[in-house]
Amino acid sequence: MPKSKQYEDAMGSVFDFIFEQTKQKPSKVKPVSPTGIDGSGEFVDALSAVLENPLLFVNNNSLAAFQEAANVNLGAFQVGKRGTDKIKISFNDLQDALSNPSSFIDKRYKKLEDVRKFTRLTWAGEEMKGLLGGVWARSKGLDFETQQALIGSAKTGTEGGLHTPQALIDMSSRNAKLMEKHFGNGNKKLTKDDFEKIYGQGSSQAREAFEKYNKAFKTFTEKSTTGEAAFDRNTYSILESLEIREKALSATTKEQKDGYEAAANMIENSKALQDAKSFINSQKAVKKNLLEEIEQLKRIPGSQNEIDAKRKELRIINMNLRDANQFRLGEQLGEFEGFWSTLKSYTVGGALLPSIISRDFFDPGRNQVKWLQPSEEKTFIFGQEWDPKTKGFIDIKMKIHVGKSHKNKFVANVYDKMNNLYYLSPVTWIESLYTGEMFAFMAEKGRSNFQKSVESIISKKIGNFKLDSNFLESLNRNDKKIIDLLEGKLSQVDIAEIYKNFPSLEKLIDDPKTKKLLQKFLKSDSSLRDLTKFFNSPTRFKDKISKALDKLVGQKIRDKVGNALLKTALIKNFGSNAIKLWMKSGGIQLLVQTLVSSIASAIGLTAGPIGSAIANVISFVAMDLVYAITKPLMKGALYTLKIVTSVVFFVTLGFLIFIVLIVNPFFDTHAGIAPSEVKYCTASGTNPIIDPDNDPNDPSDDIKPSDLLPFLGKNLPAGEECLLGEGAYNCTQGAFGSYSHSNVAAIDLTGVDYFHAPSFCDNGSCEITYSGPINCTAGYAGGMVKMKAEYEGNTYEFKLIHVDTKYTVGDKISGGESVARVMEFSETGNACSSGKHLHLETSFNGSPVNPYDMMTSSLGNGGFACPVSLCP
Amino acid sequence: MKNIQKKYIIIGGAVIIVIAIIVLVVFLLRNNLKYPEEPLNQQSLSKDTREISLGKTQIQTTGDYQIFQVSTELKYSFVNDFAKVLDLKLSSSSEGEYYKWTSSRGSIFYDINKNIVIFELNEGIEWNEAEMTDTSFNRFSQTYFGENWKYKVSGSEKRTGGDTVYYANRYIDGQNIVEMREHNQQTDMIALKDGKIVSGKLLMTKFTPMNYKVPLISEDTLRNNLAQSNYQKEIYPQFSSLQDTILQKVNYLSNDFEEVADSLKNCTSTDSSVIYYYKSFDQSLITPVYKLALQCDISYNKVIYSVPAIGYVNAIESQYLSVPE
Repeated sequence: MPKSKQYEDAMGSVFDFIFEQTKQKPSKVKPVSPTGIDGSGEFVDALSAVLENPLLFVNNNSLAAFQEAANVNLGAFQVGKRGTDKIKISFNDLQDALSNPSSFIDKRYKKLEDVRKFTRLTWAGEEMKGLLGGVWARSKGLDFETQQALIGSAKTGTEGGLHTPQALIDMSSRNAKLMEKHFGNGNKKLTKDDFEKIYGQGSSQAREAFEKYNKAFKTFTEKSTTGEAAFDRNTYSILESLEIREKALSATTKEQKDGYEAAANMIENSKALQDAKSFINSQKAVKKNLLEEIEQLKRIPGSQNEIDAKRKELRIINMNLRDANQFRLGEQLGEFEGFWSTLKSYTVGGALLPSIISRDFFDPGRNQVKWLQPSEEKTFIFGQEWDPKTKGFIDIKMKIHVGKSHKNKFVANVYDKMNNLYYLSPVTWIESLYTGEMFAFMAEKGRSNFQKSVESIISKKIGNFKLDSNFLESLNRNDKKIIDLLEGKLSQVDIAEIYKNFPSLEKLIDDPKTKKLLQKFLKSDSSLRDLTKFFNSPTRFKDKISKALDKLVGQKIRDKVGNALLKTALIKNFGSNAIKLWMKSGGIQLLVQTLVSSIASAIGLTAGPIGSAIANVISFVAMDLVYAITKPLMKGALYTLKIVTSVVFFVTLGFLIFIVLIVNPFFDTHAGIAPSEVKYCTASGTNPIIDPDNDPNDPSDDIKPSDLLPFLGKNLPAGEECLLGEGAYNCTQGAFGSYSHSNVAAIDLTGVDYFHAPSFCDNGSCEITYSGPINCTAGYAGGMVKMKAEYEGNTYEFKLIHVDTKYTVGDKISGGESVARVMEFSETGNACSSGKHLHLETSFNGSPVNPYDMMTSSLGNGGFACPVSLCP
Repeated sequence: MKNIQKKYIIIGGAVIIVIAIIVLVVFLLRNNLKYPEEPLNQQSLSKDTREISLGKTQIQTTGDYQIFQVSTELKYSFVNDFAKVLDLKLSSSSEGEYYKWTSSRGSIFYDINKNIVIFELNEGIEWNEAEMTDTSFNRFSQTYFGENWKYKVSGSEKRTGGDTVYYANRYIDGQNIVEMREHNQQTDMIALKDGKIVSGKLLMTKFTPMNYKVPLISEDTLRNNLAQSNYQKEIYPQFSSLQDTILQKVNYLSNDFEEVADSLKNCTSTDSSVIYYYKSFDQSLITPVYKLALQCDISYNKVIYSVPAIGYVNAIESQYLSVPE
């Protein structure tokens, strides 16, 4: 049996096994001890571990993936132009968002900030290109307009000008002016003769340029005349190059003349500059032809003038090549930065394997090493459904990951194998329960194998044979007909119709071997598509709910924030164009950058490449201001939407009940078992687990809230004082609290300035066991200190976080001494909390106890009698 | 003739007097520092048992460094005046521990353990500078605390609240800086927002030069000493590098994070410098210390991650050192 077939069957049957076993009650789960596992690979080990205990499947990643299924998007607010520049509010966030909108929005904006920081790095590459263009033009003594044209051309070189939308806006305005100049009176300003005067009598360049000019005229008459919405690079490039060529004609020095001509060439070929590499290649090809022509002309007497003309063209080509290489350098630097950053995180960070399991490796946003990125997305059509709007059937599709195509077969093969790892991730398997992606992938694999097989068989007989390119894609519509054809149930007319659409099908059916393959393939493809459709139904249903909810909730938030911004005087004054673009393209970022560009141009800041770069920096700074404006508005919007979202809550609750009834029984059966991997990290606060010995095979020591040992200390000496100092304190979050303590037996206390050592520390038993800085995902969180204190055979342990101390490990503490100071809010910069507080955990004789109990119990019960409010 | 002679005598006398003055000034200003006769009590460095390897790092081993005394003078009156200017009232205190001023306008916290002042102001102090520079810190300390301390700004951070925090280290003499066990090893930090100072954390301790100097330890001796687990050193890992890896999976508040932190080992130095290390108000002396940029290993779920760290290692010859057990 071919290895790939073994692989597919094995994968499919393992999945079947998991699927079946997870339906069982834990006591009835049948583990399998797989044989033939040589332990040579991590994935083989992982797979065998899963087979041995399917319940281990339920780990953080896979559970998070499942929870995502029930996490309906309530609305999204577009802040920037990139798809990721969104503030999303989903159902899981609802409780968070409503109970503490301030902190919720802060966290979302922080995430956006990180994305924007990354964007700035990639943006720098674009800016560099722009700067190079401007500097070159200035060095040639070219005028300001030409410099601007080159800068803009370089910066908008990338598709859509994603990083510098205001450059696109500038170019659009320029384009509009040029079109008005040439075509404003309804006619073309220049004739064919004019072009021959500019480019040379009878030259191909003149002909090509005149054709482009005609197309530009057509564009002008057909599209909008504002120019802003109609920026067309082809139109712009020919018109701008003509302007520059006019300047070349009146240049005073030869160097300046050559400079203008080179600039005009670059602008005219600016589309090619989108990919400087292809421009370089095309110019090299032109150069090669010119050199050959010159050699040929040398053999013809009296052709000196022609040779001189060709040499002149050659000089311009060489200049273009030099300058294009400079642009390419800018591109390469940006690429290298992204490449190095990704490679470092994978190698130095040791994150390769985890990134494959978590699937970050396959995400082009995270894995920037292009040659290491094995996957690309492909659309897979797996069915049809009735659309009431169009009153017809529409295709149902989804995206799957397939191996990236490559001209080198070996590389393509490697990519294919690496892509398979994506489908080995438990996250993908669990997700497939509600997306059907695994089945879609299996169908796609089946199609690919079928195609290879039949093409190979038929090609051996009749030479080069290729299956019709649209045959496989159309299977969801045509498979029933083809099956009828194979079973002889189709009329001649219908058969002819099918063969007309798919000529290669006739050859397949003529050959008995491929006919049999086709029959088998159609059956399996149909089942896999049906499975995909079935398991994808929760996603489709969820999408419908999301869209409806977005209209209800998300739109309200966008309207509130957008209207508040639009009222500001600044926007009114520079308003109409900016507002139009913003309303059309969306995104506050675009609006801000348009404003900055308008203001910068008005004060002359964009005169020159440096000024232009400064304007871009200013727009980033302005975005920070906009974030500051929109944040409180968003928070306000959330507060006022509480009533609306209560209604929304009940609607989504109904949806959740549906999900729970259909899918949750798999996981409900695991609640009692609680393998140590199960941690509910979202704001549910239910069933957290502590595993003191960190041994997933030994649940006997695992601790849930109900298991937390009661604090039963022994008499402490009279005179022992509250370790928190004098005063009264608030407990703002209790053990296993719903905010950040879901799996931590800790309390948060406000009103505390210092934590002191117990008085009994004068016995010399109190020692610092840990002291060092601590970070959360958002940044520095202050210090962490642990102290051990013994009294009459009992050991107290304290863990303090967000504190500052002068002590280090091994330091002895005397009775009553301040062990650590609780840090002020400004010291940690609200990275990990929303206010000054002490995070406290305690153990007594080696077992975690509720810190609230230890702090508030009386001295007679071994506590420290601190006046602390009840924890929520 | 006599007049000319007189003239030359006067000129000659003046030259001699000038030379004598110069000699006197040089004599007075000459370096009177000497090596300590008694071993110095080094109290600032603990004895971290984790090992540090110097690797290929070049250590500065030449030059003598002056010893400074940690002055016991508190800046209470200045801090109190600072509070009055900001309309804050003393709300609580504990002798020898802290003073706290509060009002609706903000708060000032004066911690005596380290002799630092932390303030947070709702309205801020007008400060017409786009950013904090070395001179800005100097101006601030002069204006509000009467000290002409010199600073070196080491970096800045933009926070989500819109304020920008500037970190600085104080110069202990014209050349060498003081470092503390802080987020960015700074002695001082000030946050600016919309042209106003909105918060800050400042070291109030004065360092008085003593007449003693010490030579730096030799590289061979240092390498040998570092191989001993009880040599004076401290290691502070910089967990910010784990924000995109381990911290995405581990709750920083949980025991798992501790296990990650405890797994730190294999620290190798990549760079070194000499600084003065200040830890607390009761350390009496402040002495030169090697600051090492380290690259260490930590592990999580059997995966090794690399994490940068700062190491502080004793830089003084052992004969001049008395270390408490």
